[in-house]
Amino acid sequence: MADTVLDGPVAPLLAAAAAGDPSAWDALVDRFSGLLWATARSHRLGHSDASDVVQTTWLRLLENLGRIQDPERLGGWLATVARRECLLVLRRGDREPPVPADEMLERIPDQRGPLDLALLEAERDAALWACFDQLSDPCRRLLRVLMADPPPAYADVADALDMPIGSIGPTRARCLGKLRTLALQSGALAPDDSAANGTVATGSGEA
Amino acid sequence: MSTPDDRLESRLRHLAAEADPVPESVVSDAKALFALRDLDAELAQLVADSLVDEPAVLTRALISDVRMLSFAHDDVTIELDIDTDPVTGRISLRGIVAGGTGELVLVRTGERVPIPLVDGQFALSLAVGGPIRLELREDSGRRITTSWITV
Repeated sequence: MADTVLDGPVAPLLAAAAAGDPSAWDALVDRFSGLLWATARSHRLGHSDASDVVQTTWLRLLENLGRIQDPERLGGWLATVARRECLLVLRRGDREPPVPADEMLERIPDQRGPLDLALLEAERDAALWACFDQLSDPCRRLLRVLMADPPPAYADVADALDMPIGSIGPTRARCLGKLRTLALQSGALAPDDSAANGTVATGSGEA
Repeated sequence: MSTPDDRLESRLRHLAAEADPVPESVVSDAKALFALRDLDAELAQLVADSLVDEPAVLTRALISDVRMLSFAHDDVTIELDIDTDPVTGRISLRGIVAGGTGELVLVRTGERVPIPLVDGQFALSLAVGGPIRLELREDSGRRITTSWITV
């Protein structure tokens, strides 16, 4: 059931919400909140500004529920609204300071368990996150939106960042490549993880 | 078949879910908004916003940081100036309703504050926080609300 909510066609949900069905509205919120949050965070908004942006975006949908021209492109519509709201917040300039580089890092839960493996993994996660933060602004923004859960459609990502849809794939490849290089240098990524197409020999132990 | 890029992206997604998840309150607040849906009111769309209209901002910026908004529906227009004081954290609203008369109400998620309207003009001060909209209840019974704005 959750899968239909996250993957199925949007138009029926939108129609049902417009007709007054709160569960359809809830389903839309469950489906797109990840995209909207990632969009706000990719613009480096702090928690309260990001929350405001997401809430304003949903309010905008609420007042336009019966007027969405292309229901299947709802994700893009929402992402566009969120992006504009982000830019307004940034332009106001009197808000929370942008998210500092290591705020997210601190939020990685300390997973120290009895297993050394878990410890190793948590350290690698923290290191990977630190590498992510060293990326250029455009890369960080794109990857942060792509990290949304559920994974967003490229068309929605393009709207979230005002990028041509055709550039999403190539830019993603370039940015992930840079991240991989940084991560290999810092040990955030085991050499095995970077194997091209998984064809490199996997004999060297840990997986 | 998943590529190394797909696997790296998926690891990042798990990491983001741990390190920077959508706050539960953001999701529950969004769901709660549905109850605010107002089918009977007519929407006065935002037709001008000095924050969006950059040349105007540049001109205005020399004078003040006031954000100027205009909403319109049919013959009714609502002009709203918003002045945020970063020191006190309070917002001053000042504006004019033209083309219609009635009772004006400030709507915020969870509260409704009546605003005195004198000769079509109004002013009030409120604390920063959350989106707001204005609602005009005309004597005819028609209700007009502005779209939501974040202040």
